[in-house]
Amino acid sequence: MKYFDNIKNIRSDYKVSEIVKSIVLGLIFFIIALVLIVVLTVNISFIYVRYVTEFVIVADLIGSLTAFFSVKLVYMTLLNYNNEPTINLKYIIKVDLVLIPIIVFLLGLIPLLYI
Amino acid sequence: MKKTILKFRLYIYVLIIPYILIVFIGVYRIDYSILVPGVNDSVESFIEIVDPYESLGSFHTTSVINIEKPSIMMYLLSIKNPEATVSELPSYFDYISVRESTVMGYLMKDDSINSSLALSLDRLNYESVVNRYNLVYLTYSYLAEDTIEVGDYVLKANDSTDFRLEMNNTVCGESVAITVQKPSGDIITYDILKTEIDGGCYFGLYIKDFTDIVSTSVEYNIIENRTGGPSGGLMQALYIYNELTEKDYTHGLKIAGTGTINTFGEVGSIGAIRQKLLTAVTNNIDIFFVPHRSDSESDNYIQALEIYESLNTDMILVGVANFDEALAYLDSIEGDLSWNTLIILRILEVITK
Repeated sequence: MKYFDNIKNIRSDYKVSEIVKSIVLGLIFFIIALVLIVVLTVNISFIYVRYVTEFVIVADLIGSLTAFFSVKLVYMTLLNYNNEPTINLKYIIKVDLVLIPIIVFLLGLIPLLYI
Repeated sequence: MKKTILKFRLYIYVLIIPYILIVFIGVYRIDYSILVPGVNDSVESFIEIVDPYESLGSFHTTSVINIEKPSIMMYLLSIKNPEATVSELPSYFDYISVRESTVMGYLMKDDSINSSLALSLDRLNYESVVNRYNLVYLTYSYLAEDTIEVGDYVLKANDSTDFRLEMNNTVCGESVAITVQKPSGDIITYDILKTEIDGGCYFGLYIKDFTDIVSTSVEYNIIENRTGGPSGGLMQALYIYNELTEKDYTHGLKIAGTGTINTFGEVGSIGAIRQKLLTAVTNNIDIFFVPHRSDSESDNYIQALEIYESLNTDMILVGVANFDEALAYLDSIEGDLSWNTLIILRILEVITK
């Protein structure tokens, strides 16, 4: 598949340390934002418990939006190291900007199973 | 990586302090208690009678959310919220943990379910063997370690089975020998000191009777859920009675209420009546039962009436002093909703929610 072929060859353009640093930065941003989302959602949900389902869904949407920006941050950082890669990085970015927020949104629905 | 961080440094400088502040107020806990409207759980979801009679409607307990030691953010969201009641934690909370208080709630619920079962089975002349024990529901932190624990059954004090009299007659600073039976069956005697705390004298124990169904001819299952406390007793008793009776006392309606029950059928007072009433209104309950034991201002029904009159609701509020009054009220309702009408009503409920 085009996506996996490009991913396999990413090390021809970027060092492992550069890839790791980019991913770590994206993750740090995501976790920092996620902490805020969780704190706000838990506090508000306890006080307005009859709307807890709606709050969780809204928080989930914000979480997936945060994932979108985190992925953008990862590739923005990566491009700082080499902004003319030989692989089709734009294609990888397009796929990840759709796929990862969707995965995060679906994972964020799991708490609804326990409410 | 550094380049990216430098690119966003202005955002970091501006947002870091509000971020830390919001997380802090969302996490740091303060010594208050907040009551907010909760949920109406169908009794069927936690008490299952095997092979029941059919009923069109349902019985629901009414629970509120009691947040002990809320965060600063929860406090700020609650102080201007007309549905919430904010109060300082009572002084005894210095000596108990939130976890122990929660365990006590679950034990009280178990007792409530057993009392409801015992009452309904007795009313319907089903065979059952019921025992009552004096259970330790809660221990306070000033009680010595490796001594009486939650779940122990109190048998006697100073060799007397009237342990309450013995404990009341003990002077501050003196000990009493309390004999307990552990859940394992071991019988042990402990010397418990009556300690001076906050101007009063206490043993550091909360002991109350616990009803246990030893055996019965009715098959049933109890399913654990997240709610605790004894205030669902009346609804539980009505549900069990209805499940074991051919007549459908629900008449296709959603019936909820609050009030403890004992094995004599007496309905006891409860707290958080405002939040429970609001919970019922938002959950489209048709009939709501409330304890009504006197005409004083502190009576649950009198308090509920005051709140009820300010609400725009078709829900019917009924005050009852005992199980028989509640049953008589349901018995007096004429007609039943048909299945078709019921389905249409419930669909409309979901759409308009």
